[in-house]
Amino acid sequence: MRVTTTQMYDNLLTGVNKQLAIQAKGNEQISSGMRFQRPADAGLDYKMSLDLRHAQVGVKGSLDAVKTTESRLGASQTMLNSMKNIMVRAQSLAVQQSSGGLGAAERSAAAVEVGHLLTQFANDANQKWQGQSLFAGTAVDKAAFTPDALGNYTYTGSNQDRIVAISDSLKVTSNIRGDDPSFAAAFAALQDFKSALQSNDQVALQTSLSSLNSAGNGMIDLTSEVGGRLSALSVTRTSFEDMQFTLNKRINEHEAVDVPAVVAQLQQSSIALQASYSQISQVKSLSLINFLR
Amino acid sequence: MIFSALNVAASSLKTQQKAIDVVSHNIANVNTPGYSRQKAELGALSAEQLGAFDFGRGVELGSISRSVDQVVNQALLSNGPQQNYWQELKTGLTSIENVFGSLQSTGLAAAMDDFFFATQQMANAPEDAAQKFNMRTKSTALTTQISSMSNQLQGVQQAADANIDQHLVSANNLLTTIGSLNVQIRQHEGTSQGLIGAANDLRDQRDQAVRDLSAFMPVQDVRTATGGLLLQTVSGDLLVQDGEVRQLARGAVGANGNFQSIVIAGTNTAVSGLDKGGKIGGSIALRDDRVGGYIKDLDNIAVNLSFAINQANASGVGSSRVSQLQSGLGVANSALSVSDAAQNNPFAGQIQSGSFTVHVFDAAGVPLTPVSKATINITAGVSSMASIAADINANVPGVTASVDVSGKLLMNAGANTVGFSDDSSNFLAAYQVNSLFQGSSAASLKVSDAVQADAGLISTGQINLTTSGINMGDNRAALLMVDLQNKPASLDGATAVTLSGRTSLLSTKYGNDVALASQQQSFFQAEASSLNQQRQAFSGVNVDEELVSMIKFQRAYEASAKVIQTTNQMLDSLMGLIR
Repeated sequence: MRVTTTQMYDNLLTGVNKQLAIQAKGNEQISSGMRFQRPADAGLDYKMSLDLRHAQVGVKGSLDAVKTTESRLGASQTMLNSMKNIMVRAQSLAVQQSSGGLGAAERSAAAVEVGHLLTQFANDANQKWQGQSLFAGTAVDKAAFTPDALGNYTYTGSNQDRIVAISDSLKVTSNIRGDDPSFAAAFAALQDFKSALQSNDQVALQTSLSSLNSAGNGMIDLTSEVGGRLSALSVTRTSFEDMQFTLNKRINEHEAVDVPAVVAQLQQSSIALQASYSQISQVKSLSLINFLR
Repeated sequence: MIFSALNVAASSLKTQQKAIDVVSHNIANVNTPGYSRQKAELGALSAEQLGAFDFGRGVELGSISRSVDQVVNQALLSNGPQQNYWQELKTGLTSIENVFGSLQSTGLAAAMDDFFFATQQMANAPEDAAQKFNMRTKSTALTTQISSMSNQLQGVQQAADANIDQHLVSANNLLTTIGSLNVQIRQHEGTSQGLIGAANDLRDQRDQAVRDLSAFMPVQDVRTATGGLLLQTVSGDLLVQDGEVRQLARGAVGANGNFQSIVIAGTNTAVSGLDKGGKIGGSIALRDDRVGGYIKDLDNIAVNLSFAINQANASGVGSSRVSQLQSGLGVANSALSVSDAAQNNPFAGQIQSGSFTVHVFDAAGVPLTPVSKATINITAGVSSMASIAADINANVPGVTASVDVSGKLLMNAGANTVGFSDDSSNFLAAYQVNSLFQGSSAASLKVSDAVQADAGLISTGQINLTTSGINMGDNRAALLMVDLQNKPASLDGATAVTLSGRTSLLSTKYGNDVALASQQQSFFQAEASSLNQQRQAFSGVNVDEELVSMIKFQRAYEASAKVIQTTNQMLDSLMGLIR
């Protein structure tokens, strides 16, 4: 095959361009720390990155939602605990006041305390967390319980639960609704107990003792239910945290550049580039012109 | 006889000088694109018979031939359109990589994720006004991203179309050059030397011009016995025949509806096969297939996002309501069914027989008494915008409705406000009443004017159908929006894909297109490089070779001069005998 000087220069130039492209890509990878940056660099790898990041955002949203639910249920649990304690105090009072040795005066004084307990219970039931009624369902701007003219509390919230979307496929209830029978039973038991004390009705006091026990148990059950939900949420949170860690690791493995390999490639390319430059300067002396005198 | 020797030597001097001229011409054109090395073909002059002997009369330059391998030339002609087609595509696609973002800022994908993240946060705190502001911000960012991408891509389409115009100018110049060279070659070879193929440099120029033309469009060449050249497109449209040239021009708007076709100047017939290769084909593919495809994909993302989110929003309610509203989309004909395709509404086909309920609230936000609501029935294929307005006027207390000049539904509740619920007909979402998004394509998609003015209009809950009651903590509408994040949807009739899936597929499609263009361009460039090497090997000028030839001819010249000198001495000797 005939070889012309043009061919030699063209070949060397092609080699130089190739090595320069390797240098440019290697430098970009080293400076960014990433194997690829744009969809044009690696279409399918880029899609994988987008999918991983999409999952990452999803997990972040889920963790946020779990925290929202935990704090909402946590606040509910605090209030339920307080209400449970009120019921325990009322039960103690009932045991004391059902004793046959006590008279109307003592029971009247106890009725005052029960009145305070009832008010405290209503305050707890109407408690707001971040400005929203805890036990009013989705009617968060309204009080969960409102007293009528006789002082009887009735539920005025909504019959809808507050649903939190942990993900598009996992939705959990983040509240305890005031229309749960336990609330009505507790209000009724306290109200009846107060009336029995005021009327110094021994039989009614015995009945109150029983209903207070039952209502107290209802509050305990509700508190336990919230505790159970919080435990389940804790498991959910842990699994999302694990997922977040795995995703971060996966993204790093997928996108991060293998620095030693790129440096070695750059070094190799640099040698080839220098050799090409050297050869280009040599070609001009490889001509008959230089030997004709 | 002595004079014969002089004549023979003189013929040699003349011929060697001409041969050195050819060498000089070769060296001068060592870097000329398309040049084929030439060779002086020397031949002995016919002998003179004197008596029983033939005496040679010297040497002459028989012809100057060029070294051309037609097989390689033809291969280059096939390679040119492909290499330039993929080069044009690669360059065009690479220039729009910023549109598709990078891992530092993933653009549309990040905007879509942010939007659904904001949706989830809003759903989990529907009573929080800040979440609605955030939702409006992320919605605006998403629609801006989509419309900006669409507008940028449309700009690229326009630029690719402008490139086609430039390429047509270049191709037409080359066609003119080829036609002109055809005439020159015929004249030169017909008059000067009378030999087919004698116009070496003109033929080189024509071959180069044809190769240059093949960079713009695929062509077929047919060479005639008389040295002429007939050039046509791959589909058989005549471009050049001898001196006759048919130029390319832009015709009427083509089948794609947006851009002018390419025709033979003076005719209305579109030239077919131009999209098969060359820079013109590359620009057409970039404009219509690649960028056009991305715009279509973006439009599909926009309509699926818009309709799906609006479906949830339209039947829901936020923390505030409006007293006056205008639908985001109108009808072309208010008397025609709202579900008719002639309404030019991409969502019209989604309307089905069903109903929606309009609720009216007083200035204090309390449901109107004694009647707070009315249900408007929609019959697909029957109900028109005018009939719906009439139904609202007749049934919804304290609300007047009409159709404006742009075919949009107007509702006015005076001092009261209105809300909507339970739209089983899809009318509200299709015509963007009480919607979050407005617009029917990627380019026109935006957050509705009403939501831009009041983020509280973004729906989170739903109005109670029985009591018209609204609860601030209700998040049923927002939960429906959250569900859309990973729910496959398809309004375009294609396979249902999630919105984030559509987004990442768009980037992947672009990435794969670039990869294919790069791979094909590299392949055809390597092929071109190999073919050019082969052409150089056959037709290229090797300076060393030429210098050796030069020495050879120089030495022959010197020898011939020596013959003349010797002959002169012989004549001197002869003349000396006379003195």
